[in-house]
Amino acid sequence: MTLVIENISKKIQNKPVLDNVSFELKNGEIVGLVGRNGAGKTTLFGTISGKLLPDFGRVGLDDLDYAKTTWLHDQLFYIDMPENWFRYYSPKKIKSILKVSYENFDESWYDSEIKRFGLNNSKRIRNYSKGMRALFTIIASFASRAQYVLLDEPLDGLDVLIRDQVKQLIVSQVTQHNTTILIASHNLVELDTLVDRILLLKDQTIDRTFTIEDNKTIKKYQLAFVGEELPAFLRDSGTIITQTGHVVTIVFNDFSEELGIKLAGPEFKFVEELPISSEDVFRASFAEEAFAWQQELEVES
Amino acid sequence: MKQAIKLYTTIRKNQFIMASLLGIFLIVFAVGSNLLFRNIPNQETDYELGPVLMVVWLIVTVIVLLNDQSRHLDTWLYTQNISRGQLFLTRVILMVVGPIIAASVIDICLTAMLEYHNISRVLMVDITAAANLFFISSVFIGIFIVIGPNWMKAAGTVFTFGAGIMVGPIFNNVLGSRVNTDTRILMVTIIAALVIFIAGYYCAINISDDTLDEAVRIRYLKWPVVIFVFVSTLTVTMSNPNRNTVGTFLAGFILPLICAAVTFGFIFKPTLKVTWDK
Repeated sequence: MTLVIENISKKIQNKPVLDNVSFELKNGEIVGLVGRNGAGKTTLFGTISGKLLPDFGRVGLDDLDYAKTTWLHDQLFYIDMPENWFRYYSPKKIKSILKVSYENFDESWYDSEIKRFGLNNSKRIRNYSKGMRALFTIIASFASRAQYVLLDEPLDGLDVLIRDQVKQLIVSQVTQHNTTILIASHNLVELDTLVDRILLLKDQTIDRTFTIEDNKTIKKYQLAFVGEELPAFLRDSGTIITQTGHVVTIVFNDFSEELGIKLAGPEFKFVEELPISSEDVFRASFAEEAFAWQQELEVES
Repeated sequence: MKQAIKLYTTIRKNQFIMASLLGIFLIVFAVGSNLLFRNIPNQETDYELGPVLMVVWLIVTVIVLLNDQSRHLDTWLYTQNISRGQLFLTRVILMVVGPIIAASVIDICLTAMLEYHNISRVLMVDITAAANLFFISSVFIGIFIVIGPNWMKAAGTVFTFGAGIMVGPIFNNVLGSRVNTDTRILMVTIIAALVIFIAGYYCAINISDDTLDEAVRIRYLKWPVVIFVFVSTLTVTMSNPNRNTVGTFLAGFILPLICAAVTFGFIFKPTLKVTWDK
């Protein structure tokens, strides 16, 4: 089964938040969703899950219209973070509700994970720490045994040890149950270690889908220039991440052969290509905005 | 539908138990008083349990519905394997129709056991109360769906029923001349309630959760709500018989204008820019 998101558009208070968003999620995939703050990630999650009604477009499970086939809704788990109804109930009560709601709810796994992480079964979730609340939400999500799980900032507020456990939970969920997981996160370093591909939400739409391994157009370089001034073409074609004296680390959004020839020229003492990460792709994608801010800062100072 | 009822009763199990206990307490109290006072001469044994039970249970309904929204339960229920329409119907059946019917049945059964000679009168009282409360519930459900934030729902409900109580007698006079029997009034009340419920159902299936923070969640109803506030307040102020001079007549517009302006402010959130720049 494939979850198909087709030309979804959504305005909130007359302001377009999503515009023609389209992508597909296949079984057993872990997909990251990144974008700037307020880019519409949570709105997209809300629209996929049925919480929000799209102005245009379709969410489908293969050829079926997901919104109209409510009997299939236990195949998708999504809960708002951090404000949700879990806060007012204990894990015990939540289990009784989720058992009715999700046909394949795995009660024994739920109980064992609650026990493993030492979560108090009769204490209301709002009395848990922020990290424990996030951990509980992930346990509840996976215990639902829904085919599709949408996680909004799942690693937010977790300490390193719990974060490792959660990442392990995510991976084992996918390997053992072939679950498809869509993760929205600002923590791109963590995403790199988890996801198969990343969807970048920019200008109200999916601007690009990328995998670090298959990426050909985005390149990261460390280089030292010769003259007093940074060669102008660098600013025009890339995003400068750091600059210490004459040494610059730069990401090129659309690396071309012509750019390679320029870098091999006499203007540079040395040029070295560095391994690229999702953060680099993110920076490169928002190079114009970062450049505009940089200009503003320079004008102010 | 079965899944919607099962899910909602599981979530609200504790509240249903609480409402039942409250009902049992009222029944015991009513039956106890009846048995205690029935042998005392000239003592009224009319306890009107049915309407009391209906009102108490409908108050629980109001609290539960407001609670559903503040706990973000509505939001989650929209993502579940029940449709928005099924959720609406489940709530109407379990929280409005159920309590009204249960209260009537309990009252009629107890009357049949304890005061059989009164049964036809109690039956009439229960039917009248049921029809009126069904109508009041339909208006509340309408407000619950159309108005966004909980405090505005509460304020809207108080305003609507307050205006209704004051304007009611005027309409009764008008209606009374046209609808001249109690049965017809009951029929009109029930049909009006059903129409409001059907409108509520239509709105419930088409409202997206992103409008939850808006004062009026349906665009087309924003101006009608402002006009409703103005007209209902105006009807109340103008019903005062002392407005027979131009001055008092114009003064009658002050309160409606203030109420309508405040409502307009909450609904349309106009921003006034005060600046010295040209």
